[in-house]
Amino acid sequence: MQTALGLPIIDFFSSGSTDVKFDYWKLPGAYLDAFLSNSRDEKTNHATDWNKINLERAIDWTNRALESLDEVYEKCSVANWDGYNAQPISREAYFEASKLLRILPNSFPIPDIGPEPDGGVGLEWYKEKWFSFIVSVNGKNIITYVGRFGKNNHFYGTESYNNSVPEIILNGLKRLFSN
Amino acid sequence: MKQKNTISSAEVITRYIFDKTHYARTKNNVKYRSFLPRNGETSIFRINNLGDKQIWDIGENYVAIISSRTLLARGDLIASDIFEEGLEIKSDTREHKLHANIVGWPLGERGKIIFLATNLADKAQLHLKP
Repeated sequence: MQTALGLPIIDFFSSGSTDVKFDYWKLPGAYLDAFLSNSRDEKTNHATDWNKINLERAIDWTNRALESLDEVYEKCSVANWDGYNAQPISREAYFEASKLLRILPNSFPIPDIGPEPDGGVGLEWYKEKWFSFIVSVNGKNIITYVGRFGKNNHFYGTESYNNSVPEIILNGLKRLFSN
Repeated sequence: MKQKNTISSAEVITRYIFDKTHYARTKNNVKYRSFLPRNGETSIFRINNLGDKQIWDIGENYVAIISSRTLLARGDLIASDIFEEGLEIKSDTREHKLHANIVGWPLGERGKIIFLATNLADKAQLHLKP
């Protein structure tokens, strides 16, 4: 199995680092930058042990995210999937989420994908308590987003859904992961 | 003992969880999705002064069986956690004397609803079903 860029999918994403040797020089330029930024000794700026590289930001997670979306859709396409009379995930919401996952930059971590009781699908990047970013679609060509950057620091709103990721969402994700 | 219809700020309430995407075992947290309302209400139970077994029994006997779902976990909150978000708790004893609903969700404001649900989720204490 390969990623969209032809890289092999290796199942160690969740750990964030690995002991597996990796052919790093074959990576495309944008990924290489991510590799290099994660592979320098903080004090000397010399390359660190190549056997322990943080690969999470450098691997295309799109296929894995789409598989996760498929699982959620399959399981929650019936009413009352949550025990509280939830609506089934709509086909439209599924396609919107699928489209969004394909165009989100892989430089951010893979989101947690889950169903919402109104038939929508939510993508969540959860860093820690009070620090998270959520993008939600419910098949009406509207993206709802919520960004939380501390207990009293947040924004939320909606954007029309076209074929690109709204700037406010990209900026919110950058903000979440820049701290 | 008859329950009061008024819920005090110090009362403990719980949201039973039946879907594995509604909590994260590894991060020990409840997900916002578990608190999202359906038709303007989020069903909860008042569990003040109940033992752990009693709390799980309510979830099994009055929620899981009726909905034919497997009870996986629950998220406990203090009533004040809910009031602080501008939401209310309304007692609804038709099915069970300890049942209530979180109400007052801003209808039509999907962003704000998700925001409030994330806040409740972050305040909630996750308990996994033994």
